[in-house]
Amino acid sequence: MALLQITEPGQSAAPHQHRLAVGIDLGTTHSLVASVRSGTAVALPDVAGRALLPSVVHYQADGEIDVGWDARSNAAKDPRNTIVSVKRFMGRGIADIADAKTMPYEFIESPGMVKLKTVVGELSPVEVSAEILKVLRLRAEESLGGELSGAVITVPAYFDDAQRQATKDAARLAGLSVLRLLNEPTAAAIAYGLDNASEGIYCVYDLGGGTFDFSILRLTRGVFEVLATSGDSALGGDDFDQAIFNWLTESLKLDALTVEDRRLLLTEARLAKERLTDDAVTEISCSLLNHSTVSAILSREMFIELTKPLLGKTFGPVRRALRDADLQVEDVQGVVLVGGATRMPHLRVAVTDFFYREPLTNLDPDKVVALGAAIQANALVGNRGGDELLLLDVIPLSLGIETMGGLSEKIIPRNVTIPSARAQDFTTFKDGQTAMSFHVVQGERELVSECRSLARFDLRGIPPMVAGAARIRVTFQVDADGLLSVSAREQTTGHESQITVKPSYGLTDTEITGMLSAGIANAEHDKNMRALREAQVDARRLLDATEAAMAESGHELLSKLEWNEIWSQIYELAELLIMGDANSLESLRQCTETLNAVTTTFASRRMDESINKALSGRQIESINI
Amino acid sequence: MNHLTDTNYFELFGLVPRFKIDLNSLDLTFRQLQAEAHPDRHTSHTQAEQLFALQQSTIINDGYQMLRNPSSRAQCLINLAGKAESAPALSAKFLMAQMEWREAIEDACAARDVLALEALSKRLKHRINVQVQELASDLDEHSDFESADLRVNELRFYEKLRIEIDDALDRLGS
Repeated sequence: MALLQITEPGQSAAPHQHRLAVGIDLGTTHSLVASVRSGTAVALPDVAGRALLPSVVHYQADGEIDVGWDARSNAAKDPRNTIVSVKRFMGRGIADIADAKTMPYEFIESPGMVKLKTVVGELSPVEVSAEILKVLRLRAEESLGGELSGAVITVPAYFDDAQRQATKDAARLAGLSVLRLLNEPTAAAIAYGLDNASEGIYCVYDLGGGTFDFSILRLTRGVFEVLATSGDSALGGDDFDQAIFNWLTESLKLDALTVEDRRLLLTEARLAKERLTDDAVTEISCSLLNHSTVSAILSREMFIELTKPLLGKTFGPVRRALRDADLQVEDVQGVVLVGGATRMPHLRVAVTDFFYREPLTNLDPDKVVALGAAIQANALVGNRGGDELLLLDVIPLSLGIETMGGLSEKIIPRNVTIPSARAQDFTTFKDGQTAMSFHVVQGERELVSECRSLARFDLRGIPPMVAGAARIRVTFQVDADGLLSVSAREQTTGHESQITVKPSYGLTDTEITGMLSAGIANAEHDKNMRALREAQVDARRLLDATEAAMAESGHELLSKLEWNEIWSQIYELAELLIMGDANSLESLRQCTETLNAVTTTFASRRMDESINKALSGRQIESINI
Repeated sequence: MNHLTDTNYFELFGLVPRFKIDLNSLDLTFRQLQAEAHPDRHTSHTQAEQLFALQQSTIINDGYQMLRNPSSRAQCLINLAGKAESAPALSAKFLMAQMEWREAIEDACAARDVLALEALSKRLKHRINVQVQELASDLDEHSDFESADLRVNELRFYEKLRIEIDDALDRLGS
């Protein structure tokens, strides 16, 4: 009988097979993928041995899509169809993109997020990003030899909800299961901290291609505690290229440039910036489309002068994070530099002067983020060695609710450790008011119009009372992924309304499914098969987890009766799983749900047990001190 | 701001309910508790366990913050003693001083005077330290909860001033 195929309690789940998990740094200029192999995080190279993949996607008229090095070398030839730095457009409207006018793209305003008009049609930044992620997924699967269990994808700490959601959508579109979106500076700190066994207060100064992030962490024996984070999501290395570009066009009076010329000059500007890392003076020379030549000499002094305001702009967020964490510069044990732009010598001098210490640069600033993400991915899929790491992250931006007069009332302030939950009571404005509208916003500003709108929802059925008499409690819960759910409840009647916030700019589920199934003839059947496979994976996972829990503490924490009840449900679900019938989707889901339900009390006791264990261990220690 | 449970946070962190606590020991216990409860430690467990992990981890984070911050720690003690009254009246003298602080901040902002704001911030930090010492004496030495209640209320005003100064410095890009 089928039941005999189930392993003995305690033998199946406990030592997991090694699951394939990767960390992906989806950067503005470069992207890369890394994984933990025999205990060490390594970047996975392409067939030519290169770890970095330029974040450039070239769409051709015949439908061919080039990603990476080839696409980048075509950027100047076909600028309109070669999307560079797409990360800057993720979750953004045209109004958010400061230099949209000088870019070689044709932007189309569409609800929530801009689209780009190309030779293959209008594209969402999410679709463009997905092309980059697909290349990295294939690279990882070939290199690791199997399907991936999941990926940790890094985002700038200062990304708001819309930008995070867009990143998640891109991953889904690329066929990746996202274990976690991890903040880039935190990822860098993990890679750096584990590599050097560091303890104490560390800062991460991360100037990427398009974003600046600054985070302060406390490192204590494998625990990475983020104390404060700040940044500027519209400031990056690209702006330093732009400064050179502006200097060129102004000093040489270059106007009426074609888009091709612009792209060419921007590339020349970037190369000049990179050369100035080693050279005191550099020559810029190239010929434009109309065969006129551009020639200029740029000294490092001039470059420093041109970019002084940009560099200065990074220290505002640095000071703010220090204030938020209530720390002085002297408290900092080390500053880790991340991002290619931190190679600029005058930036290193400025950081050294600010912190009175040389920054740490012994890990490759281009790779350190992906390596940290790979370590976190390895821990999250439960691979061996992962339990040495614990990450306590914060929310980067305050979450609030709109009140009378268009003001934002902050419910969860920025830099609060997640998961977190807070509640606030509100009341009615008019006599007999029976409904209330809630507007959830994100940001530090007092005026709602200057914050980012996340969601709106209504609470109806409030019993009519005089103004100010009703008590409506609004609760915000942010989980370990940083995702927010909000509920509102009238206290006297218990009437409730609840939503999980999903920003309106993200793609809808239907849009994603549409993109996924485009070209697949039998989309409906395919969808059902996928649902069944997902249900089977869920059931399998629950069985493994329950068996392991039973073996670990079932005898201690359960009565004979409870023990039997859980086992009979385990057998029932296992039998259903082995039958493997496509019709069993509903019963499979139901049976999984039942096993979840009968183990609830057990789970709660296990949690209490582990908390008590941690605490009693602690008390003995404090007595010894 | 309402916190979500009536958990006795001193008990949760294995501490004797006093105002003066060993912050290093609090930090250590916090990390040990999260090492058990954090949702990331339960990713391969049942859904029910993941939910409990989320709840416990949330409570631990909340409790840690409540105990780490002097005004909320004092409030916890006052609540535990069952002595929380409706907010006691602030003296006219205190309110006058508040207005003077506010004016000084506004003046410094208008003049975009970063140094003046930093000086105010230092003075305020000193004022907060004094207030915290007085609070400690009220609670730990005299068990004078009525006086402590008033001082907590005043301390909250100082904390708000501090946020105002920080935000002002932030706006001046410094």
